[in-house]
Amino acid sequence: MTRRWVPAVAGAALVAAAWGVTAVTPAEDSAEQPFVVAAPVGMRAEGRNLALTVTGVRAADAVVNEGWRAEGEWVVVDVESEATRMETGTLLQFVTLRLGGRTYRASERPPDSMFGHPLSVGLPSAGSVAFELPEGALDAGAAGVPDELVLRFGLNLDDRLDSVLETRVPLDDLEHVGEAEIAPVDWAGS
Amino acid sequence: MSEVRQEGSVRPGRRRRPGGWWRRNAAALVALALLVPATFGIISSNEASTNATRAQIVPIEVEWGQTYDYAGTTWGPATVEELPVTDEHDIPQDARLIEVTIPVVPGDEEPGCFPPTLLETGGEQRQWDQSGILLGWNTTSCALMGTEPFDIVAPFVLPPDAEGPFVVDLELVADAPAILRLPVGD
Repeated sequence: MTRRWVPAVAGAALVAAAWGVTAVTPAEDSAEQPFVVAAPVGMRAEGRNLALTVTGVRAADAVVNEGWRAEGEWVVVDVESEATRMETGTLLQFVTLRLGGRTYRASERPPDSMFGHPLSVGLPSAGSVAFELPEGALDAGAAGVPDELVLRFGLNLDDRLDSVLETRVPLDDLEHVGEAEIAPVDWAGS
Repeated sequence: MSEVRQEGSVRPGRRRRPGGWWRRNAAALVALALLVPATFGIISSNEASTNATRAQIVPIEVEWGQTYDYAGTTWGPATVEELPVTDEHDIPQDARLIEVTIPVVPGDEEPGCFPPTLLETGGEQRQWDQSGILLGWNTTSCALMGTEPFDIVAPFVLPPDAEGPFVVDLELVADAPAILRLPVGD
C-alpha cells in the first residue's frame, strides 16, 4: 500500500529546509562589507594605508575653531592620524558617527579640522573632527537612543571592502562641556 | 495465494538495450562536451583581457647616473640634496627634507609628465608625494615648460625612520605612457 503521507511530509520538510536556507543566507551586500578594526580611545589602530588614534571625545553646547564659533549639539573628537604606505589621494574623508539608527558625517563647517585632511606617510597630524547632531540627540533616556556612540574612520567615501577604524564610546563616559575647541590641524607632538 | 510481483516501471516489451540512453542523447552529449569547455574558455579570455587593460605599467628601471630617452625627450640623471630643517619650515623638526632634481632635455615636442613620487626601495617600501604645497614652495614640473631644457625640482618631507636607498618614479605622458624609475641614493 502506498504511503500517502510520505509526499506530504517530504513537501513540508522541503518547505522547512527552504526557509532554513533563506534564514541563513547572508544579505546581498554582506560580501562587500568593510573590514572593521577596533580603535579604542587612546589606542593606535591600523587599517589599509591608515593609522589613527582617538585621543579624546567630548560633547559640547558650542564649538570654536580658528575664530569661528557655532552653538548646537556637538561631539568633538580629537585624533592623531597618518598614512602608512602612500600619500597620493590619501585624505581622512570617511568620518562618521552612528547613534541609534542614524549615521552622521563629520561637519564641514569648522574651517580647520582633520576631516578631509591629507595624511603624510610616517608623519602623524593631530587635530579634531566635529559632528553636529540634532538637538537632544544625546539626551539620556531619549527614545531609541542606545547607550553608545560608534565612530568610524577611513580614507574612502565608499567604505565597501575597505578597512574602517571603529571607536565605541559609551554615552555614560562622554564628557559634556559648555564650549569645546576643535583643535586646528598640526603635526602630532609639536 | 499467489505472489504478486511488481516489476516497477519496466514492462515487458519496453525493455531497452544497454547504452540506449547514451545513443539517444549522443548529439546533446557531444554538444555539452563542446560547449562547457567553450564557455569556460570564453569567460576566462574575457576576464584575462579586462585584467590586462587594467594592469599597471611596469616602471622602466634607469641605471644610476644614467639618462633615459623616451618620447623624444632625455630624462635624468636624478640627483638629490639634503636640506637643513629650520623653524621656517612648517614641518616636524625631526623630519628629513630632501630636494630631488631631474634634468629634462626635450626634443621637438613639449614633454609631459606628472609630479614625481619618492619610494623606499627597502624597509616598508613607502611612497611620498612631493611636498611643494606643504612647504609653500614653487616647484617645477613638466607643465608648460616648452622645448627648452629645464629641471624638475621636487622637495620631499620624510619621517626620520625613512630608509634609503630611494628611487623617484616619474610618470610620463606620451602616446604610450610610461613610468621612469630613477635612483637617487640614500
